[in-house]
Amino acid sequence: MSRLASLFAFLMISTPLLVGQTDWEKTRSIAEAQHEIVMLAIKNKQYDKVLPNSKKIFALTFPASREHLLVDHAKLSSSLLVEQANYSLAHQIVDEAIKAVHNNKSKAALLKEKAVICSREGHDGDAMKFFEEAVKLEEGKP
Amino acid sequence: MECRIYTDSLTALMDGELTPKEEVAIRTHLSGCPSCHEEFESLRYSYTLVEKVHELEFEPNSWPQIQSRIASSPRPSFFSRLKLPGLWIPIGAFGALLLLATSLMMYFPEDNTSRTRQAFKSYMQERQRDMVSRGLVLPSDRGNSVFVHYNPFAEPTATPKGNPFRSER
Amino acid sequence: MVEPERLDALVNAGKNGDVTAFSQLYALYGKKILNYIFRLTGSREEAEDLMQDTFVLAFRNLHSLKENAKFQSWLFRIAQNNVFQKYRGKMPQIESIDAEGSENPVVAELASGSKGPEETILSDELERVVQRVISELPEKYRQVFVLSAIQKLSYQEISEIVGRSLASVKSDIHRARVEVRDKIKEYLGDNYGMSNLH
Repeated sequence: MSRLASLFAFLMISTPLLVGQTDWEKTRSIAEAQHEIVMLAIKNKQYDKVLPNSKKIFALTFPASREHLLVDHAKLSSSLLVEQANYSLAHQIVDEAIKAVHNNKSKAALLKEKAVICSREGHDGDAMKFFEEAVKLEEGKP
Repeated sequence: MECRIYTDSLTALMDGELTPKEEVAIRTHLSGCPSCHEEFESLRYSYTLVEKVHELEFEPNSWPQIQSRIASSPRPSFFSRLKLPGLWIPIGAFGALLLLATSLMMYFPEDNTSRTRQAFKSYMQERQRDMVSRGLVLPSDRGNSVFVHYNPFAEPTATPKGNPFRSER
Repeated sequence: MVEPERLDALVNAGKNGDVTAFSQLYALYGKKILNYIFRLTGSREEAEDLMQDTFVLAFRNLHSLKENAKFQSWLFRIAQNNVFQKYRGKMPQIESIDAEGSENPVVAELASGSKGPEETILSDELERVVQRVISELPEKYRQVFVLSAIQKLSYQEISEIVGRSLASVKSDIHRARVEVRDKIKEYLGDNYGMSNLH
Protein backbone atom coordinates (compact mmCIF):
# COMPACT_ATOMS: atom_id res chain seq x y z
CA MET A 1 0.00 0.00 0.00
CA SER A 2 2.77 2.39 0.90
CA ARG A 3 4.50 1.60 -2.40
CA LEU A 4 1.32 2.46 -4.23
CA ALA A 5 1.11 5.68 -2.27
CA SER A 6 4.71 6.56 -3.18
CA LEU A 7 4.06 5.83 -6.82
CA PHE A 8 0.90 7.93 -6.69
CA ALA A 9 2.81 10.78 -5.06
CA PHE A 10 5.54 10.50 -7.66
CA LEU A 11 2.99 10.64 -10.47
CA MET A 12 1.25 13.61 -8.86
CA ILE A 13 4.51 15.54 -8.78
CA SER A 14 6.02 14.49 -12.08
CA THR A 15 2.95 14.37 -14.31
CA PRO A 16 2.54 18.16 -14.62
CA LEU A 17 6.22 18.42 -15.54
CA LEU A 18 5.95 15.62 -18.08
CA VAL A 19 2.80 17.04 -19.56
CA GLY A 20 4.37 20.50 -19.71
CA GLN A 21 7.43 19.05 -21.38
CA THR A 22 5.27 17.08 -23.81
CA ASP A 23 3.39 20.27 -24.79
CA TRP A 24 6.61 22.05 -25.58
CA GLU A 25 8.01 19.06 -27.38
CA LYS A 26 4.90 18.92 -29.50
CA THR A 27 5.10 22.61 -30.28
CA ARG A 28 8.79 22.41 -30.98
CA SER A 29 8.36 19.39 -33.22
CA ILE A 30 5.63 21.06 -35.28
CA ALA A 31 7.65 24.26 -35.57
CA GLU A 32 10.70 22.27 -36.61
CA ALA A 33 8.83 20.55 -39.41
CA GLN A 34 7.15 23.76 -40.55
CA HIS A 35 10.46 25.60 -40.58
CA GLU A 36 11.90 22.95 -42.88
CA ILE A 37 8.92 23.35 -45.18
CA VAL A 38 9.29 27.14 -45.24
CA MET A 39 13.02 26.98 -45.96
CA LEU A 40 12.53 24.47 -48.72
CA ALA A 41 9.71 26.50 -50.25
CA ILE A 42 11.90 29.63 -50.27
CA LYS A 43 14.84 27.80 -51.79
CA ASN A 44 12.60 26.31 -54.47
CA LYS A 45 10.89 29.69 -54.96
CA GLN A 46 7.47 28.23 -54.20
CA TYR A 47 6.43 31.51 -52.65
CA ASP A 48 2.74 30.64 -52.35
CA LYS A 49 3.69 28.03 -49.73
CA VAL A 50 5.91 30.28 -47.63
CA LEU A 51 3.49 32.49 -45.71
CA PRO A 52 0.82 29.87 -44.97
CA ASN A 53 3.42 27.51 -43.49
CA SER A 54 5.14 30.28 -41.56
CA LYS A 55 1.77 31.29 -40.11
CA LYS A 56 1.39 27.78 -38.73
CA ILE A 57 4.51 28.41 -36.64
CA PHE A 58 3.28 31.81 -35.50
CA ALA A 59 -0.06 30.28 -34.49
CA LEU A 60 1.65 28.00 -31.99
CA THR A 61 1.97 29.00 -28.35
CA PHE A 62 5.55 29.73 -27.46
CA PRO A 63 6.61 30.30 -23.88
CA ALA A 64 8.27 33.65 -23.24
CA SER A 65 11.65 31.99 -22.86
CA ARG A 66 11.40 30.53 -26.37
CA GLU A 67 10.07 33.57 -28.17
CA HIS A 68 13.50 34.30 -29.58
CA LEU A 69 13.11 31.18 -31.74
CA LEU A 70 10.23 32.86 -33.53
CA VAL A 71 12.39 35.91 -34.08
CA ASP A 72 15.18 33.78 -35.49
CA HIS A 73 12.81 31.94 -37.80
CA ALA A 74 11.48 35.26 -39.11
CA LYS A 75 14.98 36.65 -39.53
CA LEU A 76 16.23 33.59 -41.37
CA SER A 77 13.22 33.44 -43.66
CA SER A 78 13.24 37.17 -44.41
CA SER A 79 17.01 37.17 -45.01
CA LEU A 80 16.68 34.38 -47.55
CA LEU A 81 13.79 36.17 -49.24
CA VAL A 82 15.75 39.43 -49.36
CA GLU A 83 18.61 37.59 -51.05
CA GLN A 84 16.07 36.54 -53.66
CA ALA A 85 14.79 40.16 -53.85
CA ASN A 86 11.35 39.13 -52.67
CA TYR A 87 11.01 42.07 -50.28
CA SER A 88 7.23 42.04 -50.11
CA LEU A 89 7.08 38.48 -48.79
CA ALA A 90 9.93 39.19 -46.40
CA HIS A 91 7.91 42.09 -44.97
CA GLN A 92 4.83 39.90 -44.65
CA ILE A 93 6.65 37.24 -42.68
CA VAL A 94 8.15 39.76 -40.28
CA ASP A 95 4.75 41.47 -39.87
CA GLU A 96 3.19 38.13 -38.92
CA ALA A 97 6.01 37.50 -36.48
CA ILE A 98 5.49 40.91 -34.85
CA LYS A 99 1.84 39.99 -34.25
CA ALA A 100 2.88 36.70 -32.71
CA VAL A 101 5.45 37.91 -30.18
CA HIS A 102 4.71 39.56 -26.88
CA ASN A 103 7.81 41.02 -25.37
CA ASN A 104 9.30 44.33 -26.44
CA LYS A 105 12.75 42.89 -27.03
CA SER A 106 11.35 40.51 -29.65
CA LYS A 107 9.27 43.24 -31.25
CA ALA A 108 12.25 45.55 -31.40
CA ALA A 109 14.41 42.87 -33.03
CA LEU A 110 11.70 42.32 -35.65
CA LEU A 111 11.29 46.05 -36.29
CA LYS A 112 15.03 46.22 -36.89
CA GLU A 113 14.60 43.38 -39.34
CA LYS A 114 11.97 45.48 -41.14
CA ALA A 115 14.52 48.27 -41.27
CA VAL A 116 17.05 45.92 -42.83
CA ILE A 117 14.56 44.82 -45.48
CA CYS A 118 13.69 48.45 -46.31
CA SER A 119 17.34 49.32 -46.51
CA ARG A 120 18.02 46.48 -48.91
CA GLU A 121 15.05 47.63 -50.98
CA GLY A 122 16.52 51.09 -51.18
CA HIS A 123 13.87 52.72 -48.98
CA ASP A 124 16.24 54.40 -46.59
CA GLY A 125 13.66 56.74 -45.11
CA ASP A 126 11.42 53.86 -44.09
CA ALA A 127 14.43 51.95 -42.82
CA MET A 128 15.32 54.80 -40.47
CA LYS A 129 11.70 55.04 -39.29
CA PHE A 130 11.54 51.37 -38.34
CA PHE A 131 14.96 51.47 -36.76
CA GLU A 132 14.07 54.48 -34.63
CA GLU A 133 10.84 52.80 -33.56
CA ALA A 134 12.81 49.71 -32.54
CA VAL A 135 15.30 51.75 -30.52
CA LYS A 136 12.47 53.61 -28.74
CA LEU A 137 10.87 50.29 -27.87
CA GLU A 138 14.16 48.99 -26.51
CA GLU A 139 14.61 52.10 -24.42
CA GLY A 140 11.07 51.83 -23.07
CA LYS A 141 10.03 55.16 -24.50
CA PRO A 142 6.40 55.67 -25.67
CA MET B 1 31.40 23.80 -44.92
CA GLU B 2 30.30 24.90 -41.43
CA CYS B 3 33.70 24.11 -39.98
CA ARG B 4 35.33 26.72 -42.19
CA ILE B 5 33.55 29.42 -40.22
CA TYR B 6 35.40 28.24 -37.16
CA THR B 7 38.77 27.24 -38.60
CA ASP B 8 39.14 30.71 -40.14
CA SER B 9 39.05 32.14 -36.63
CA LEU B 10 41.35 29.68 -34.89
CA THR B 11 44.31 32.02 -35.18
CA ALA B 12 42.33 34.90 -33.76
CA LEU B 13 41.32 32.60 -30.89
CA MET B 14 44.95 31.83 -30.10
CA ASP B 15 45.87 35.51 -30.37
CA GLY B 16 43.11 36.53 -27.98
CA GLU B 17 41.39 38.65 -30.61
CA LEU B 18 37.86 37.27 -30.37
CA THR B 19 34.96 38.70 -28.42
CA PRO B 20 33.84 36.56 -25.46
CA LYS B 21 30.77 35.48 -27.42
CA GLU B 22 32.82 34.42 -30.42
CA GLU B 23 35.24 32.58 -28.19
CA VAL B 24 32.48 30.61 -26.53
CA ALA B 25 31.03 29.67 -29.93
CA ILE B 26 34.34 28.42 -31.25
CA ARG B 27 35.36 26.54 -28.12
CA THR B 28 31.96 24.89 -28.05
CA HIS B 29 32.41 23.81 -31.65
CA LEU B 30 35.94 22.53 -30.97
CA SER B 31 34.75 20.40 -28.10
CA GLY B 32 32.38 18.62 -30.46
CA CYS B 33 34.34 18.47 -33.71
CA PRO B 34 37.40 16.20 -33.77
CA SER B 35 38.75 17.47 -37.08
CA CYS B 36 38.61 21.12 -36.06
CA HIS B 37 40.12 20.21 -32.72
CA GLU B 38 42.99 18.50 -34.50
CA GLU B 39 43.52 21.54 -36.71
CA PHE B 40 43.55 23.74 -33.63
CA GLU B 41 46.13 21.58 -31.88
CA SER B 42 48.28 21.46 -34.99
CA LEU B 43 48.24 25.24 -35.33
CA ARG B 44 48.90 25.64 -31.62
CA TYR B 45 51.93 23.41 -31.89
CA SER B 46 53.35 25.54 -34.67
CA TYR B 47 52.79 28.57 -32.42
CA THR B 48 54.96 27.00 -29.74
CA LEU B 49 57.69 26.31 -32.28
CA VAL B 50 57.70 29.84 -33.63
CA GLU B 51 57.76 31.27 -30.13
CA LYS B 52 60.98 29.38 -29.47
CA VAL B 53 62.74 31.34 -32.18
CA HIS B 54 65.31 33.60 -30.63
CA GLU B 55 65.45 37.30 -31.14
CA LEU B 56 68.56 39.26 -31.98
CA GLU B 57 70.14 40.65 -28.87
CA PHE B 58 70.04 44.40 -28.66
CA GLU B 59 72.68 46.57 -27.05
CA PRO B 60 72.01 50.30 -27.25
CA ASN B 61 75.53 50.71 -28.65
CA SER B 62 74.48 52.61 -31.69
CA TRP B 63 72.94 55.43 -29.67
CA PRO B 64 76.01 57.68 -29.98
CA GLN B 65 75.84 57.39 -33.77
CA ILE B 66 72.16 58.20 -33.75
CA GLN B 67 72.78 61.10 -31.41
CA SER B 68 75.47 62.54 -33.63
CA ARG B 69 73.25 62.20 -36.70
CA ILE B 70 70.48 64.01 -34.86
CA ALA B 71 72.89 66.71 -33.72
CA SER B 72 74.34 67.22 -37.18
CA SER B 73 70.98 68.01 -38.74
CA PRO B 74 68.51 68.89 -36.03
CA ARG B 75 64.81 69.13 -36.81
CA PRO B 76 63.44 72.59 -37.53
CA SER B 77 62.16 74.54 -34.54
CA PHE B 78 58.51 75.52 -34.33
CA PHE B 79 59.05 79.05 -35.58
CA SER B 80 61.38 78.08 -38.34
CA ARG B 81 58.79 75.50 -39.49
CA LEU B 82 56.30 78.37 -39.77
CA LYS B 83 58.58 80.07 -42.26
CA LEU B 84 58.24 77.15 -44.65
CA PRO B 85 56.12 78.47 -47.52
CA GLY B 86 54.52 75.12 -48.20
CA LEU B 87 52.95 75.26 -44.78
CA TRP B 88 50.79 78.28 -45.50
CA ILE B 89 48.74 76.74 -48.29
CA PRO B 90 47.35 73.94 -46.14
CA ILE B 91 46.88 76.37 -43.24
CA GLY B 92 44.94 78.71 -45.49
CA ALA B 93 42.84 75.90 -46.93
CA PHE B 94 42.09 74.59 -43.46
CA GLY B 95 41.05 78.05 -42.29
CA ALA B 96 38.67 78.46 -45.22
CA LEU B 97 37.12 75.08 -44.60
CA LEU B 98 36.73 75.85 -40.92
CA LEU B 99 34.91 79.08 -41.76
CA LEU B 100 32.63 77.29 -44.19
CA ALA B 101 31.86 74.49 -41.74
CA THR B 102 31.06 76.95 -38.95
CA SER B 103 28.71 78.90 -41.23
CA LEU B 104 26.93 75.74 -42.32
CA MET B 105 26.54 74.57 -38.73
CA MET B 106 25.01 77.86 -37.74
CA TYR B 107 22.68 77.86 -40.72
CA PHE B 108 21.53 74.24 -40.61
CA PRO B 109 20.35 72.99 -37.25
CA GLU B 110 21.71 69.67 -36.06
CA ASP B 111 19.23 66.80 -36.23
CA ASN B 112 19.13 63.23 -35.10
CA THR B 113 19.12 61.76 -38.59
CA SER B 114 22.86 61.39 -38.93
CA ARG B 115 23.08 59.78 -35.48
CA THR B 116 20.33 57.33 -36.38
CA ARG B 117 22.02 56.53 -39.67
CA GLN B 118 25.27 55.85 -37.89
CA ALA B 119 23.54 53.64 -35.34
CA PHE B 120 21.76 51.75 -38.10
CA LYS B 121 24.99 51.28 -40.01
CA SER B 122 26.63 49.87 -36.87
CA TYR B 123 23.62 47.61 -36.35
CA MET B 124 23.87 46.23 -39.90
CA GLN B 125 27.54 45.43 -39.41
CA GLU B 126 26.87 43.85 -36.02
CA ARG B 127 24.00 41.82 -37.47
CA GLN B 128 26.20 40.46 -40.23
CA ARG B 129 28.96 39.60 -37.75
CA ASP B 130 26.43 37.92 -35.48
CA MET B 131 25.02 35.84 -38.31
CA VAL B 132 28.49 34.77 -39.36
CA SER B 133 29.60 33.93 -35.83
CA ARG B 134 26.43 31.93 -35.22
CA GLY B 135 27.06 29.98 -38.38
CA LEU B 136 23.97 31.20 -40.22
CA VAL B 137 25.84 32.64 -43.16
CA LEU B 138 29.18 32.53 -44.86
CA PRO B 139 30.16 35.90 -46.22
CA SER B 140 31.12 35.72 -49.83
CA ASP B 141 33.48 37.98 -51.72
CA ARG B 142 30.70 39.39 -53.88
CA GLY B 143 28.99 41.07 -50.95
CA ASN B 144 26.00 38.75 -50.84
CA SER B 145 25.74 36.03 -48.26
CA VAL B 146 25.87 32.30 -48.61
CA PHE B 147 23.42 30.76 -46.21
CA VAL B 148 24.47 27.72 -44.31
CA HIS B 149 21.89 25.16 -43.40
CA TYR B 150 22.65 25.55 -39.73
CA ASN B 151 20.49 25.55 -36.69
CA PRO B 152 20.79 28.89 -34.87
CA PHE B 153 18.56 27.74 -32.00
CA ALA B 154 20.56 24.68 -30.97
CA GLU B 155 21.88 24.32 -27.48
CA PRO B 156 25.58 25.16 -27.48
CA THR B 157 26.78 21.60 -26.85
CA ALA B 158 24.81 20.12 -29.71
CA THR B 159 25.98 19.97 -33.29
CA PRO B 160 22.67 20.19 -34.99
CA LYS B 161 22.02 20.89 -38.57
CA GLY B 162 19.29 22.75 -40.26
CA ASN B 163 16.53 23.82 -37.96
CA PRO B 164 16.17 26.43 -35.23
CA PHE B 165 13.55 24.39 -33.48
CA ARG B 166 15.44 21.11 -33.46
CA SER B 167 16.34 20.23 -29.91
CA GLU B 168 19.65 18.77 -28.90
CA ARG B 169 19.77 15.05 -29.20
CA MET C 1 55.04 47.18 -22.36
CA VAL C 2 55.81 50.76 -21.43
CA GLU C 3 53.46 52.42 -18.96
CA PRO C 4 51.28 54.93 -20.75
CA GLU C 5 52.23 57.81 -18.44
CA ARG C 6 55.92 57.17 -18.87
CA LEU C 7 55.56 56.89 -22.66
CA ASP C 8 53.58 60.12 -22.75
CA ALA C 9 56.21 61.94 -20.72
CA LEU C 10 59.10 60.66 -22.81
CA VAL C 11 57.42 61.46 -26.12
CA ASN C 12 56.49 64.95 -24.95
CA ALA C 13 60.03 65.54 -23.80
CA GLY C 14 61.31 64.26 -27.14
CA LYS C 15 58.95 66.64 -28.93
CA ASN C 16 60.53 69.47 -26.97
CA GLY C 17 63.95 68.42 -28.24
CA ASP C 18 65.08 66.45 -25.20
CA VAL C 19 67.55 64.02 -26.73
CA THR C 20 68.18 62.22 -23.43
CA ALA C 21 64.48 61.42 -23.12
CA PHE C 22 64.50 60.19 -26.69
CA SER C 23 67.47 57.93 -25.93
CA GLN C 24 65.24 56.18 -23.39
CA LEU C 25 62.67 55.58 -26.12
CA TYR C 26 65.47 54.12 -28.21
CA ALA C 27 66.42 51.79 -25.34
CA LEU C 28 62.81 50.73 -24.86
CA TYR C 29 61.87 50.11 -28.49
CA GLY C 30 65.20 49.43 -30.17
CA LYS C 31 65.06 45.68 -29.81
CA LYS C 32 61.58 45.38 -31.30
CA ILE C 33 62.46 47.55 -34.27
CA LEU C 34 65.77 45.77 -34.82
CA ASN C 35 64.12 42.35 -34.83
CA TYR C 36 61.23 43.48 -37.02
CA ILE C 37 63.55 44.83 -39.66
CA PHE C 38 65.76 41.77 -39.35
CA ARG C 39 62.82 39.46 -40.05
CA LEU C 40 61.88 41.53 -43.07
CA THR C 41 65.37 41.82 -44.53
CA GLY C 42 67.15 38.72 -43.27
CA SER C 43 70.32 40.68 -42.60
CA ARG C 44 71.59 41.86 -39.26
CA GLU C 45 73.73 44.55 -40.81
CA GLU C 46 70.84 45.94 -42.79
CA ALA C 47 68.68 45.76 -39.70
CA GLU C 48 71.18 47.77 -37.67
CA ASP C 49 71.49 50.46 -40.35
CA LEU C 50 67.80 50.74 -40.96
CA MET C 51 67.09 50.78 -37.25
CA GLN C 52 69.35 53.80 -36.87
CA ASP C 53 67.63 55.49 -39.81
CA THR C 54 64.29 54.77 -38.16
CA PHE C 55 65.16 56.44 -34.89
CA VAL C 56 66.80 59.45 -36.54
CA LEU C 57 63.72 59.95 -38.68
CA ALA C 58 61.46 59.42 -35.69
CA PHE C 59 63.20 62.12 -33.66
CA ARG C 60 63.06 64.57 -36.55
CA ASN C 61 59.35 63.97 -37.10
CA LEU C 62 58.18 63.44 -33.56
CA HIS C 63 56.20 66.68 -33.71
CA SER C 64 53.94 65.05 -36.34
CA LEU C 65 52.82 62.28 -33.96
CA LYS C 66 49.39 63.37 -32.80
CA GLU C 67 48.63 60.67 -30.27
CA ASN C 68 51.57 59.82 -28.04
CA ALA C 69 49.96 56.49 -27.16
CA LYS C 70 50.37 55.40 -30.79
CA PHE C 71 54.13 55.88 -30.68
CA GLN C 72 54.90 52.18 -31.10
CA SER C 73 52.77 51.62 -34.20
CA TRP C 74 54.02 54.92 -35.64
CA LEU C 75 57.61 53.82 -35.10
CA PHE C 76 56.97 50.43 -36.72
CA ARG C 77 55.46 52.22 -39.65
CA ILE C 78 58.57 54.34 -40.09
CA ALA C 79 60.72 51.19 -39.92
CA GLN C 80 58.57 49.51 -42.52
CA ASN C 81 58.67 52.53 -44.83
CA ASN C 82 62.44 52.60 -44.52
CA VAL C 83 62.62 48.97 -45.63
CA PHE C 84 60.27 49.69 -48.53
CA GLN C 85 62.21 52.75 -49.61
CA LYS C 86 65.47 50.89 -49.53
CA TYR C 87 64.03 48.12 -51.67
CA ARG C 88 62.00 50.51 -53.80
CA GLY C 89 58.52 49.53 -52.72
CA LYS C 90 59.16 45.80 -52.62
CA MET C 91 60.01 43.72 -49.65
CA PRO C 92 63.47 42.24 -49.88
CA GLN C 93 63.72 38.76 -51.28
CA ILE C 94 65.58 37.14 -48.49
CA GLU C 95 68.14 34.64 -49.60
CA SER C 96 67.87 31.52 -47.61
CA ILE C 97 69.71 32.32 -44.45
CA ASP C 98 70.17 28.73 -43.61
CA ALA C 99 73.20 27.10 -45.08
CA GLU C 100 73.10 23.37 -44.78
CA GLY C 101 76.19 22.20 -43.03
CA SER C 102 77.83 25.61 -42.79
CA GLU C 103 78.19 27.87 -39.81
CA ASN C 104 75.83 30.74 -40.45
CA PRO C 105 76.84 33.39 -37.90
CA VAL C 106 73.36 34.78 -37.50
CA VAL C 107 71.84 31.39 -36.92
CA ALA C 108 74.66 30.53 -34.54
CA GLU C 109 74.07 33.73 -32.59
CA LEU C 110 70.34 33.20 -32.44
CA ALA C 111 70.55 29.62 -31.41
CA SER C 112 73.34 29.96 -28.92
CA GLY C 113 72.68 29.71 -25.29
CA SER C 114 73.49 27.54 -22.39
CA LYS C 115 72.28 24.29 -23.83
CA GLY C 116 73.83 20.86 -24.20
CA PRO C 117 75.06 19.70 -27.61
CA GLU C 118 71.97 17.72 -28.50
CA GLU C 119 69.66 20.54 -27.51
CA THR C 120 71.76 22.99 -29.50
CA ILE C 121 71.52 20.85 -32.64
CA LEU C 122 67.78 20.56 -32.34
CA SER C 123 67.44 24.22 -31.53
CA ASP C 124 69.64 25.14 -34.53
CA GLU C 125 67.55 23.04 -36.83
CA LEU C 126 64.36 24.58 -35.59
CA GLU C 127 65.80 28.07 -35.87
CA ARG C 128 66.84 27.38 -39.46
CA VAL C 129 63.53 25.92 -40.41
CA VAL C 130 61.48 28.74 -38.94
CA GLN C 131 63.65 31.43 -40.45
CA ARG C 132 63.53 29.77 -43.82
CA VAL C 133 59.79 29.43 -43.63
CA ILE C 134 59.36 33.12 -42.74
CA SER C 135 61.66 34.15 -45.59
CA GLU C 136 59.58 32.13 -48.03
CA LEU C 137 56.33 33.81 -47.08
CA PRO C 138 54.85 36.23 -49.62
CA GLU C 139 55.53 39.88 -48.71
CA LYS C 140 52.01 40.63 -47.56
CA TYR C 141 51.97 37.69 -45.20
CA ARG C 142 55.54 38.08 -43.95
CA GLN C 143 54.84 41.53 -42.58
CA VAL C 144 51.73 40.63 -40.62
CA PHE C 145 53.15 37.31 -39.53
CA VAL C 146 56.21 38.89 -37.99
CA LEU C 147 54.17 41.60 -36.30
CA SER C 148 51.68 39.16 -34.80
CA ALA C 149 53.65 35.98 -34.15
CA ILE C 150 57.00 37.46 -33.18
CA GLN C 151 56.32 41.03 -32.13
CA LYS C 152 53.02 40.01 -30.51
CA LEU C 153 51.20 43.18 -31.51
CA SER C 154 47.43 43.42 -31.44
CA TYR C 155 45.50 43.15 -34.69
CA GLN C 156 44.41 46.75 -34.27
CA GLU C 157 47.99 47.95 -34.03
CA ILE C 158 49.02 45.80 -36.97
CA SER C 159 46.18 47.24 -38.99
CA GLU C 160 47.47 50.76 -38.22
CA ILE C 161 51.03 49.84 -39.14
CA VAL C 162 50.33 48.13 -42.44
CA GLY C 163 47.44 50.43 -43.37
CA ARG C 164 44.91 47.71 -44.09
CA SER C 165 41.51 46.97 -42.54
CA LEU C 166 41.18 44.87 -39.43
CA ALA C 167 39.27 42.19 -41.34
CA SER C 168 41.95 42.02 -44.00
CA VAL C 169 44.69 41.81 -41.38
CA LYS C 170 42.88 39.05 -39.49
CA SER C 171 42.46 37.04 -42.66
CA ASP C 172 46.08 37.52 -43.74
CA ILE C 173 47.42 36.57 -40.32
CA HIS C 174 45.42 33.38 -40.37
CA ARG C 175 46.62 32.48 -43.85
CA ALA C 176 50.20 33.29 -42.91
CA ARG C 177 49.97 31.12 -39.81
CA VAL C 178 48.52 28.21 -41.74
CA GLU C 179 51.21 28.52 -44.38
CA VAL C 180 53.94 28.64 -41.75
CA ARG C 181 52.50 25.58 -40.04
CA ASP C 182 52.27 23.68 -43.33
CA LYS C 183 55.82 24.55 -44.32
CA ILE C 184 57.28 23.72 -40.92
CA LYS C 185 55.49 20.39 -41.15
CA GLU C 186 56.93 19.85 -44.60
CA TYR C 187 60.48 20.58 -43.49
CA LEU C 188 60.35 18.73 -40.23
CA GLY C 189 58.48 15.75 -41.62
CA ASP C 190 58.10 13.07 -38.97
CA ASN C 191 59.63 15.33 -36.36
CA TYR C 192 56.63 17.63 -36.40
CA GLY C 193 54.81 17.15 -33.16
CA MET C 194 57.80 15.74 -31.32
CA SER C 195 58.32 17.44 -28.03
CA ASN C 196 62.12 17.13 -28.06
CA LEU C 197 62.28 19.92 -30.58
CA HIS C 198 61.56 22.50 -27.91
